Amino acid sequence: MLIKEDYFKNIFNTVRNSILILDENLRVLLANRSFLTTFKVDSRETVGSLLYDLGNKQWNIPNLRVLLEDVLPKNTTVDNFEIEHDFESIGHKTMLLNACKIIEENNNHPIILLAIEDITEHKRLEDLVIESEKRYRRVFETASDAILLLEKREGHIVQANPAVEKLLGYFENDYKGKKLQDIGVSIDTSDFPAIMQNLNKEGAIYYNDISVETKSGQQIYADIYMVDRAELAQCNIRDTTKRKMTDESLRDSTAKLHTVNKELESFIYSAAHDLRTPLRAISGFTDILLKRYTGQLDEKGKDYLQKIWKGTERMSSVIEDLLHLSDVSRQDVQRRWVNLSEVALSIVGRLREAAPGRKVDVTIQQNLEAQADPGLLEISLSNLIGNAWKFTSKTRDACIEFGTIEKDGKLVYFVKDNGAGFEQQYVDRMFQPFHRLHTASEFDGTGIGLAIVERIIQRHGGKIWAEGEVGKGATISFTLA
Amino acid sequence: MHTVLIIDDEPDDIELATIALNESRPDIDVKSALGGIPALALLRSRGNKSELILLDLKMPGMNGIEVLRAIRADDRVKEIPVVVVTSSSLKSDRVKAIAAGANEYIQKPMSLDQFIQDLKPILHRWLPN
Repeated sequence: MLIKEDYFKNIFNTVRNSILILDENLRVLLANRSFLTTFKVDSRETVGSLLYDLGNKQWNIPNLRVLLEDVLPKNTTVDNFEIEHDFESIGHKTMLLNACKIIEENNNHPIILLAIEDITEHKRLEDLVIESEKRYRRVFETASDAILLLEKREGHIVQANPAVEKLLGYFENDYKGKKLQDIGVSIDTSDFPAIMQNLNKEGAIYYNDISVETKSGQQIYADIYMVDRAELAQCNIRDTTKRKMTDESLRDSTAKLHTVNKELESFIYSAAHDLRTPLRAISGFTDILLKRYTGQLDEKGKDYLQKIWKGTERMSSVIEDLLHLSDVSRQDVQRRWVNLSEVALSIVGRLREAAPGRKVDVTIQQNLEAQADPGLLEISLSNLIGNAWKFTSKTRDACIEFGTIEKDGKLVYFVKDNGAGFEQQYVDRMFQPFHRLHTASEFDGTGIGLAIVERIIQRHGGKIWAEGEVGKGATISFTLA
Repeated sequence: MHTVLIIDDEPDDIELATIALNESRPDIDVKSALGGIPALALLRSRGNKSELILLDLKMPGMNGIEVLRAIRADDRVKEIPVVVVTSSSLKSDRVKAIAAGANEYIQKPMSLDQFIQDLKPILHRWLPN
């Protein structure tokens, strides 16, 4: 190749690729600016040196040397010779080399033009793409979703993964070249270009709860989405039949449960009203008999009337307690910051007012706060402190304590008393409705208080438990979530 | 004498309320109606002198809320104070009663003594001596 010198030099020093001009001995005659910059060398250490001596012999690559040494005598070229090498000045790189013979004008000595292109980044990206394609292929082949690749003009199926056969029953000759509707997918793709336009704009298109007819005529439901895969559109089909059935079943069950709860609520209140009415008559008129007609009755008669009266009181308590238990089970828990110390203090105040003669030493830890439903928590503490008050009624030097301890990283509230206590072996029965651990003659009550408290604590996500000893007292502890 | 009208479908409840009223205040003349329709008829009659109404909520046919609304809609009787006396403990019933125009709301107690205790302040408010 004949070239004009100046013209050549301008191009030589402007191009981005590194270029060396070598003589027949592969000695560097010229190095362009790009070479000097890329390999971090200067002209003095480069020009005049043998190629394979440059940069601590980093170019002393046997294959390259052989190729270059053939260029002049055999009039060959080096075309896209790729070398991966650790270059001393620039580290591990991949270079693409091209070389050819040049004949200088007015000079018959041929020279070698060696162009060096750093393709390290290009190779890295190429490898990433190959790896990505491999991964995609793995996913494509093994996915449980049916995946179809569609050409973008009219939406004909080009390729599909094995899941298409599993899910829909269609083989390659059933779907190749066909459209989605032809394989039972009820999506209108008649204006496929419009769909592609939308896909281009949105990035992905979703279709939920689409009816799909399989090859065998079975109806299934699927969520379908389309994404762009450059030359093709990818369509994923996921079978949601089971989920849809579960959702519908769950909705049915929830609706039925709601109805049952409403009916139960109605029943409970009707029952309470219908029980209270005759009870009121019994208790009201018994009361009148006791007050106005007592003179006309002998002791036995009075005693029997007292028994009737007490029976009605008890029945009334049971009805009230049943209603409370039902209420706390259904009421929404509305949490707010509650000062438990103040609530406890108020409850103790009411108890003292009702029994002014009693001397009970009550200790309430100060500033106890919790996030809880104020109404429900008041009911709980009222029951717990009320129980402690009751079961210490026969105790000399009665003591009641309300406080907290830390246990296993959790805050545990407790109500403790030194009253009648209970047999620890029967502790589980304490929280069951209407189960009592003492007779009515020892201590009155319906046996529902702790069941109500347990329900409330559970509604707050907490736990409740009891420890006691006969004659020594009891401690009821609880946590709030 | 003050006239108090008891509206309730239960004769026993009427009798107990009557006893409680008489024991609370000997200056009370008790009238009664066994349901909404006879009650409204009585209230609209010429001889009506009711100064206070004790009204039950759960009655067959025309219930207490409907009776209350009818009373409040009638210019002749809308000013008569109405105390709802019911066995219902539902908060929603209480809200409905107040919204319909009830002046007070008490639960029917089990004991006569309790009923008398509950009535005393009510009678003091609406039928001052």
